[in-house]
Amino acid sequence: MNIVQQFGIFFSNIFSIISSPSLLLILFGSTLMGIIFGALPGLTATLGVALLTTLTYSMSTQAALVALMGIYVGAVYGGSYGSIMLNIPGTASAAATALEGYPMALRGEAGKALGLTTTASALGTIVGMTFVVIFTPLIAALAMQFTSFEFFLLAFFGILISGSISCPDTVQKGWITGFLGLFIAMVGRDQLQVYPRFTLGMMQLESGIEVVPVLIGAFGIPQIIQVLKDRQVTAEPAKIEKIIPSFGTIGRNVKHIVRSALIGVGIGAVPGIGEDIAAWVSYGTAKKSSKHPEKYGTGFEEGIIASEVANNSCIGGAMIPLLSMGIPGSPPAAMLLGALMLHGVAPGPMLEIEQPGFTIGISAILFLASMSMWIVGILLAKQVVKLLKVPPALFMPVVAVLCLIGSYALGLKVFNLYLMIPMGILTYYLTNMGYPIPPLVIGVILGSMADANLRRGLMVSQGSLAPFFTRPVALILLLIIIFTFISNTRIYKRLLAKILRKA
Amino acid sequence: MMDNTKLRGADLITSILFFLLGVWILFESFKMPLRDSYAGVNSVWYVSPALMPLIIGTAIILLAITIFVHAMKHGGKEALKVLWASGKGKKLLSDANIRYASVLLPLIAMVYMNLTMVDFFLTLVLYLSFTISVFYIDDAKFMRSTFYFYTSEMAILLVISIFKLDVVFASIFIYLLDIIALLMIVALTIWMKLQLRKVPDEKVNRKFRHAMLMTYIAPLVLVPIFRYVLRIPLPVEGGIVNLMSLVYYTLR
Repeated sequence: MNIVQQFGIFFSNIFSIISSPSLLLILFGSTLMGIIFGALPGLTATLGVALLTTLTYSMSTQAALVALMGIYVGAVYGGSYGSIMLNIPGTASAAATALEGYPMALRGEAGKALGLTTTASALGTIVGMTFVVIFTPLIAALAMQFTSFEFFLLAFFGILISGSISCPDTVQKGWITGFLGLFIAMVGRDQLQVYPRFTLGMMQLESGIEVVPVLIGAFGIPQIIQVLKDRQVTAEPAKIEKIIPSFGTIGRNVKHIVRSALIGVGIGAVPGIGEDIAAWVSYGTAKKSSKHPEKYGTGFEEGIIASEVANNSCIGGAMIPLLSMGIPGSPPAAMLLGALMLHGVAPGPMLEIEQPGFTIGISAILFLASMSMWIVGILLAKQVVKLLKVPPALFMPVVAVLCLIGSYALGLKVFNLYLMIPMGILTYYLTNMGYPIPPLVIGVILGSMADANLRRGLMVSQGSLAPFFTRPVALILLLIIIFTFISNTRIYKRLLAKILRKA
Repeated sequence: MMDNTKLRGADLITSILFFLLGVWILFESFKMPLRDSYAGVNSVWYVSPALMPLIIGTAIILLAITIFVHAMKHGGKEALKVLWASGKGKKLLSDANIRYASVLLPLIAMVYMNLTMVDFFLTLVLYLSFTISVFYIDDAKFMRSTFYFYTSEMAILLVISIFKLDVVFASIFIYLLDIIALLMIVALTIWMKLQLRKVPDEKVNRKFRHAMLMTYIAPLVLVPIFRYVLRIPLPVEGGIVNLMSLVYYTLR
């Protein structure tokens, strides 16, 4: 497909959406819902995508994608409302924004800060979208050369890297939750010999554990427990007058925007690493490279731009491995993968062959979602801010009900709910003890892929492990895995420190 | 996340649990066909369904050992003592525990008991009326007394569930259990209102009215959306859902 054809598909997708009143309504409605989800402390982008997935069953794939991308983009941006107005980030990805946004609000510049985050987030999403268009086909083409060995190693790498980066404590905790996720994926009859594994004699477990209820349990239930268990204090939001789009400030900070967007896309493309890490890394980098680092923390515009551009460009980054290899780049993208599967779309290297133009279609939706986010943000921010006064105790039990109906609606199995609750309680305790949840989710999603590909690969090689070393891509992946493993050992860290000291 | 004084102690416990999980995975994996045939297929080690579980089990055991060693090296023993001491001094029915139980008990009761027994609309109202009210009003005394009342109601439903009395009730009158659930909701509402009478604060009463409003509005919106728009058959369509269906299909 040449570039002219690609542009043609892109604009025809945009035209088909904006010419349909129902799709436009879904786009603006889901974006607004996303902003509200992001703004309200306790609700997250992942939970928003999870809960909306259940409402998209009866929609066409295009309408479902418009709704899901809209809520995803809106929720990542909406987190900044709480950060700026209350100094309580609505989502983890907006925590860095609070450092600059709240001091600005205290100075009476809440409108300016909100306008800045709105424009920066829209730009971040558009840059992320551009990377989706450029890199997804390239990586998918590369992935077409992959054999079972590479796919097994890729799944393994995804778990290791996600465990290494997302872990707040020792790295082994990240890895062990990844393996726990892999174990959960092993439950049920295996794909090659149909042998029942770890089913405990229960008929319901023979078809395996469904991904969506596990995801809803892992992301929804701990959030509900945490928010209700902790006494919530509802603060009065700062005063807001006029939302200013701040094009002038944006124009003066092109360099920061480009750097932050690159950081966001890069981090988003790493399996399981979410928008929160992208925002913090970008904020930290901006501070380090700034001419005025002393101004950071006092309501400095550069800081807001750095975190907001990065967390929204991370969306595009997270879509790249999802669409090209079927590996989600962030927790909301993991949820999106579950939603795509429900609609009969199998992301991976074959996606563009089975559904030509799908990636460009997603990019067009991302573009429109960023536009609708900007419009809704500029026009309705004042109204959404009023919702910050609603105490979580009033809506969190309703969210629990939505989690429940959502998990049940998938396959109409009450058994899904029986699994969702222990999964939620388990992840709540694991999170409290410093075990990260993204690697567990990545493990659950990639488990069957890792299992089937390892055995298929070994079947072809008749049990020989040589292809791990003789195939170039497999060897590179293996070396990266070994390096990831070794770089987290004490001996390596001590050795590195010694070398650096000598240098 | 847990604070560092207790974290390493918790790490000791979780690493042991993970180690046991790893051992169990290996134990179960060795029961799977490794070399012998299964369902007429001759198996070899590299296509065995046990291959991946063996890798996972081994990895979990090794990682659990490293977490255990790390915790021991970083004051795990002392942290375990702190953890033990902090738990020892606490009363079983302390305010914090009641609060925690108030989150979990209604959720567990709804999923494992009410959902397959009581009308779906009533199940939601029963859950929401308790949860929204106690957490929105957020008064320790009110939470405690309402929790005891709600638990006793759930105990009655548990007895009905264990002794399969729901089947007996259904043979007498198909909606009898729904009527019992409805009475429980009414009783809970009256109980909460009576408790709040002791608090002469108009703010609290206003909060209670908001909580009640939310309790009924949410199911009134969600149940029709899922049942009639998305056409999802609900787990139990009892008295109220059937009444809704009657109204919906009559109006349509």
